[in-house]
Amino acid sequence: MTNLFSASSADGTVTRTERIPTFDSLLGVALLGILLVNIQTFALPKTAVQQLIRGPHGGNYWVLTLMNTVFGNNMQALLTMLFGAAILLFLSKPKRTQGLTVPEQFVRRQLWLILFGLINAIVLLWHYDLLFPYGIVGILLFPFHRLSVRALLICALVAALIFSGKNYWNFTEWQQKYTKYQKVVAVEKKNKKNKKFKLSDEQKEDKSAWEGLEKGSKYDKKAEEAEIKAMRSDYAKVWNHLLPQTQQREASWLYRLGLWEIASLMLLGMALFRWGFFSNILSAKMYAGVAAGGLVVGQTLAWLSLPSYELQIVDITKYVRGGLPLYDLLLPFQRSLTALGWAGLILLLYRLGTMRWLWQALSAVGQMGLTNYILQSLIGTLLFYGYGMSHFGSLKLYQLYFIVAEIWLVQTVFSVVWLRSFYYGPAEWLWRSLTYGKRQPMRLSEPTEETATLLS
Amino acid sequence: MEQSNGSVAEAHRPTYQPVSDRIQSLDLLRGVALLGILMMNIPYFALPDTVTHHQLYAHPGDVNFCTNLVVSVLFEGKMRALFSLLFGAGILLFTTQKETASGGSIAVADLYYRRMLWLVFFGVVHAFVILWFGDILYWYGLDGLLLFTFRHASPRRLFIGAMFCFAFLVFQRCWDFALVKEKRENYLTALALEKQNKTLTEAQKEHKAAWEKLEKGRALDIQAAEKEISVMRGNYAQVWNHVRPIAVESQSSYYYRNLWDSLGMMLLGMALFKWGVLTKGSRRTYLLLVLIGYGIGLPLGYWAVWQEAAATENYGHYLDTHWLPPAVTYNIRRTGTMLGHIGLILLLARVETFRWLGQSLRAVGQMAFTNYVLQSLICTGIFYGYGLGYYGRLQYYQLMYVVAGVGILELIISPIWLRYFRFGPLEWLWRSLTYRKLQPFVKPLIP
Repeated sequence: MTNLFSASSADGTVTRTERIPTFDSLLGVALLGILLVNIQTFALPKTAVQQLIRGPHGGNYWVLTLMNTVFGNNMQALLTMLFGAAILLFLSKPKRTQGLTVPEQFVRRQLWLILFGLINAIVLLWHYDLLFPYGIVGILLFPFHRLSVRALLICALVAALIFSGKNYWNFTEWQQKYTKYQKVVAVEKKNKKNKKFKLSDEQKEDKSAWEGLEKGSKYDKKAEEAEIKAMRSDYAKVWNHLLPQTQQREASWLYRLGLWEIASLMLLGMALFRWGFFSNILSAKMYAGVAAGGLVVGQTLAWLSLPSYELQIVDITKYVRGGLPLYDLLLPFQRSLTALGWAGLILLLYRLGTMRWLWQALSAVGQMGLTNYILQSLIGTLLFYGYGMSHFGSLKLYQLYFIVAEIWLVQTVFSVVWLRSFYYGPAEWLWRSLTYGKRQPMRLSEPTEETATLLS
Repeated sequence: MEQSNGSVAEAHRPTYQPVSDRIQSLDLLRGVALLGILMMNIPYFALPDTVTHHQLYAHPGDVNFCTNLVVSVLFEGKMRALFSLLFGAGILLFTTQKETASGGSIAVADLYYRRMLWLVFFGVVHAFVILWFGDILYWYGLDGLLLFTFRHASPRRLFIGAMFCFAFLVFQRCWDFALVKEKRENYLTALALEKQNKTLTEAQKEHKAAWEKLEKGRALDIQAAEKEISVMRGNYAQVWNHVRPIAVESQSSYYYRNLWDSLGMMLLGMALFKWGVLTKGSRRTYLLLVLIGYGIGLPLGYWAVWQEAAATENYGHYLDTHWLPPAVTYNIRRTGTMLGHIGLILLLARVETFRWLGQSLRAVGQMAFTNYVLQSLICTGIFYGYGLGYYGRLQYYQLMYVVAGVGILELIISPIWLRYFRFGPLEWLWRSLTYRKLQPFVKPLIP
């Protein structure tokens, strides 16, 4: 691995030659992969997707379930792991002798990422933006960068357990609400004939609390129509419609759950990086083992907990009365294990040495990760939102995957072509220039600082 | 970090900071800010919000209103500002000292980030175990994580950054005000239509209800207050259940929206520290600070209290007649008054007569973390149900006696503690966790 960094330029910035090709290919796969789930959010109201689960199970239901269980969420998990690994990659640069130090550059890089995330969410209106939380959690994880593989794994496990625990807590709160509701209903029944009987304010509150929760979980056609109408309106209306969701996600969700979910995956990614997993230096046997183990265990957990996930959408009362909320408890484990399995499998395939062109193309997508991520927001919003082509809510779920294939093709071709003439993707170039406070070379014909110093 | 950067110099570097190295003016200011902060916090410990607001503004001229007039003009926001300011200065102090001592910047970053992350953790404990839902340690820790990279910026840039933060807050407040005004206007339109006996559309009915709900939310709600009082006088579990969502809100959504407040002041503090204003200003500088700061801050503060009183009396009318919220001048007036305070305190520090008070205040400031948490322990102990259960029993002006009592207590015990120990207990714990090594605690007795 050391030779990967030996060609570093004087100021310690990672130049193109130092990139880890396997890492970029994995990143490319993960980036394209997240679209499998994100496209649903771009194109359809959430209620419509849930309706597939409630409704008679047709082809669309199976497409949805396969996508989400086998790939979808796990690709995002892989992306998060890779981002964690990238933290260590960045911090392992040689120390600088003058100017900004590595930790300083790191924090700046994260701060700019936070800003990119805000723009992605609040200007481009991709309210499920990941850059903002990645930026923040990345800074929080800085103090963990020296930990050993083992310590990192333990931290990842603890974060995952906290995530599960919080989910479970939420479930018990629902249970409490339901028990209180049942009590009130029982009292009401008892006093049915007593005309003077009236519920106390507290009892009324208890009753309406659960009823509200139950109503919120039911399909509401009117609400869905209103959402479609809002999303097909002009920019200002869509903006107004999405802002509360964005804020809810960036503030409450991140604080309550997102932090633990993302931190756990990033820590796992850091551990894997330290172990050498992403640099293609372990034995093929090891990768095969990780692939088989991760996919088998992860997918078993995923399919085991699927009924619990669906029950929550179909019948919340039954869900609350039933035993353990398996899905919520197992989520971090099934996700990270499946993601790990995918990573192992991809690296194993990479080793086979066939289809070089495909790996190179994917590596180009990964090298331009930030650009491609933002590009997905641009394409997705412009295809489906009202100020673009306004297809929101008009397509069937399975049709979306033709669009996904097209976007994949566009992004791959674009990345390969772009990198023929430039060092970085446009967003990467901007990010680097901002991080180092200095315009970075862009065109391949421009000398890098490294060659410039050699020539002078 | 000791292992990896284990140069000889580093190994022998004392990991504690000798007490004489401390910058006295910063400790002094921090002591004042800390005692002042309780003045702002105590209503939240002791009274339901709706009651507090009513007592503060509803009856101009009564004792609560007059107390609030003084507190608002002189202290509200200023003490928090001063505290944030000093935290910003502290960031520079911590990092530059470590940087010159060890020369290794990655070591500094390690120490610094560990320190901030522990602060975040302390904040969580403070909010969810000690149940002080207005905790600031959590916010400060997160702010600190963001500010590290600005420590080498020029004071001018830091100042501009601070101004940007304040400008953003003004924008936010104006935006919110415009939204409320829109609600009001929609309501008035609906009302006018109703007077002409026209039936309202669904949307118009909603507009009407939205405003009525807003107005009701601002009025004194005795029922809600009584319920809150009974819960807060309950046992630990009841109080915990009630306080938890408030603390969650404060650490997530509230912080998300308002981090500019503390961030701006910290940046300003870093700028002022670099300019030397906080540590080595001349008598002339401080005199100027007093004159200009108070000159701007006090009249605006006085004006703002009356604005708020007018808005409390009839919010609808206030909205109809005003285009901008009083919050537009918030940061100008509080920064002005705060700078005036800084000038005044540092001038008075040079007067021999106040030496004893200065020493006590410095001790309070040196143990700021301990004293801050101590305030929460005392106040939850007095007001919450699992303590003495005084929640809702005292009026606003009476709370100021409690503030004075706690202040005097801290002024007495802090210097005594520091006679025997190097640090306050929590400061010691924090340092030990930061350096991952027990720090010397007890002072050797010098004959």
